[in-house]
Amino acid sequence: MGNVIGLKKGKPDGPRVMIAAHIDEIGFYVKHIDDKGFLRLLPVGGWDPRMMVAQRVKVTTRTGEWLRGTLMSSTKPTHLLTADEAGKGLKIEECFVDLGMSGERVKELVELGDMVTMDRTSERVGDMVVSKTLDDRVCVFVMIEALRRLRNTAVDANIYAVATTQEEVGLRGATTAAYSLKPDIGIALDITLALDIPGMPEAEQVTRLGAGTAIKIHDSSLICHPKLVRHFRDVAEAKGIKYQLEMLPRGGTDAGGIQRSRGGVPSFTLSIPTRYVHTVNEMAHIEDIQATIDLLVAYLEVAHERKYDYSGDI
Amino acid sequence: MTAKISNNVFQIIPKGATPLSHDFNFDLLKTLCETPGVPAREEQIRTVVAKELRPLVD
Repeated sequence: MGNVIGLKKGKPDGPRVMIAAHIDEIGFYVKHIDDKGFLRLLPVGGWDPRMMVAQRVKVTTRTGEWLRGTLMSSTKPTHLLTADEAGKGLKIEECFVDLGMSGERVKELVELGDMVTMDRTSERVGDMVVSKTLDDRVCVFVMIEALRRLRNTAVDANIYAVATTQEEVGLRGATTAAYSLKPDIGIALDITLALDIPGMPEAEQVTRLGAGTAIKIHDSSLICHPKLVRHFRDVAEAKGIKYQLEMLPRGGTDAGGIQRSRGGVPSFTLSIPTRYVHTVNEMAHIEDIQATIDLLVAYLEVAHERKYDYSGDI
Repeated sequence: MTAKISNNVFQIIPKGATPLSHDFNFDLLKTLCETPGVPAREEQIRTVVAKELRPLVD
């Protein structure tokens, strides 16, 4: 499946801990090239058409070269729209990429199946990071930085760091990796919704930026193992790491795939609260990112100390 | 704006942004986010991640 898997060895009898952070991003495939060189797109992952248009994009060709283009919709300029036309919703089928080249040239360089991704830089804004694809590269970053912190530390757990593929289309890489690795514990690292923005009632905000890393209890792909939730909470409290609890009504992570591998794996998700998810302006608080690294490191040092079965109290 | 964060280590801070702790590797995060990779076309980001992970694992 193309997962990248690294093992930090622990003790032979230590638990096998699989950490998953996905490296794929939502984007598009080229599905049609017309004679004028305009590209039509097949979306991969959960796009909201309202967030797609009037963006710069990169088309990655079969040679790995990047072509820059604009993602636009087949609509009149605002000056010419009637009131009815202006209120009409946008469909993905109406969107196209303009590469600014002749049809002949485009057909020489681009072919069906080439990938198209948003073209935005990552920036620091106030206390935040704003970028495309924080989902889920910020968690890949967390996984790498946690391993860097543990580089000279012996831990009992055998840590499988897995940069997974194809999460956005159904947790596919994590599911197959879990089958191969046979983990005792599965931990997904992913972003979650932070809806602490104007117009959202407090009860529906899920998480808030700056309130710490998020210990997930529930999403629609898994209910985290209660003993793992408790262990992460205890570690955070013992170390003074800021955290918030997360109840996500819809959406899922790689932990949902790991949990259902073989006979079942105790699984959990550690989340980074993020505003404007699945747009080019995903926003996360630097202190929440740091807290996520801190908690992951602190947990991995003591992952061997508890058993995650279904007997006794939580 | 430039801030001194330790001996001989300085940080250029974008206008309006707060300084980072000295071990927050923003350049790596930026590289990870800006490298393309849709499902099943993760070859470029896979190369970046493998290079970073290799020295950190056994």
